[in-house]
Amino acid sequence: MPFRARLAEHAFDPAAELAELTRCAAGDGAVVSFVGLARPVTKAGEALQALVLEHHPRLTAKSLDDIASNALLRFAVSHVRVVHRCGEISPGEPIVFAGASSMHRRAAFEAADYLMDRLKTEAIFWKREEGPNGSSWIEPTEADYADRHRWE
Amino acid sequence: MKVRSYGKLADLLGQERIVHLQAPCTVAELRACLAAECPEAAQPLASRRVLACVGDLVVPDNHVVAPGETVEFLAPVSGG
Repeated sequence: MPFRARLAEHAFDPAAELAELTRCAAGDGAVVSFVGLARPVTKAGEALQALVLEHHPRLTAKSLDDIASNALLRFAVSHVRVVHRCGEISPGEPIVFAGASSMHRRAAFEAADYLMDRLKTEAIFWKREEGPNGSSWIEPTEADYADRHRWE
Repeated sequence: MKVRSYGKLADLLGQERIVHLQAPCTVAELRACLAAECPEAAQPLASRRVLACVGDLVVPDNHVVAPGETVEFLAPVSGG
């Protein structure tokens, strides 16, 4: 399948995702992937207990599909994969896997970069950090929005 | 009219609430009504980054909400 986006309710294995993408990419010349991990400290510098990603019952999966299918249309890539966690994530656990394969490397690098810039600002999730002093919502930074605008 | 909220807006407005505003009305009127009911939510409700959705579609502020429709307000989203 040229693109696939999956909302993962439980921990997933990025190595298995990369292996699956690499298998599908037979005939291509390049595979690029990115893995986002939950950092062990909060933005306030305290020990993170958990990162919680709330999602919408319908719109979240739709937003992931939209972003992945747009990457396929926009770049000369053969396959696009997105796996995105929701729910409670422990420090060090993978949050997101974004990958693409292509005939030549540039398109796959660009597609992975594009996927992440859009996921950071447009994937329908509400993220909050749980720390020793309670929880706080995390929103995209101005730099995240500027990164997204690079593709317009 | 039924309103659902997500993210930090749900902390301020509750996940679901009934607003005493008769449809048809615009999304802008609904934002103003919610802000009056819940002043601490006024600032986020005024942000263009807080999206309004009807029937799973993002709608502009001049969208007219029909009787029986539910409006969902999405606090700024962030994945990755």
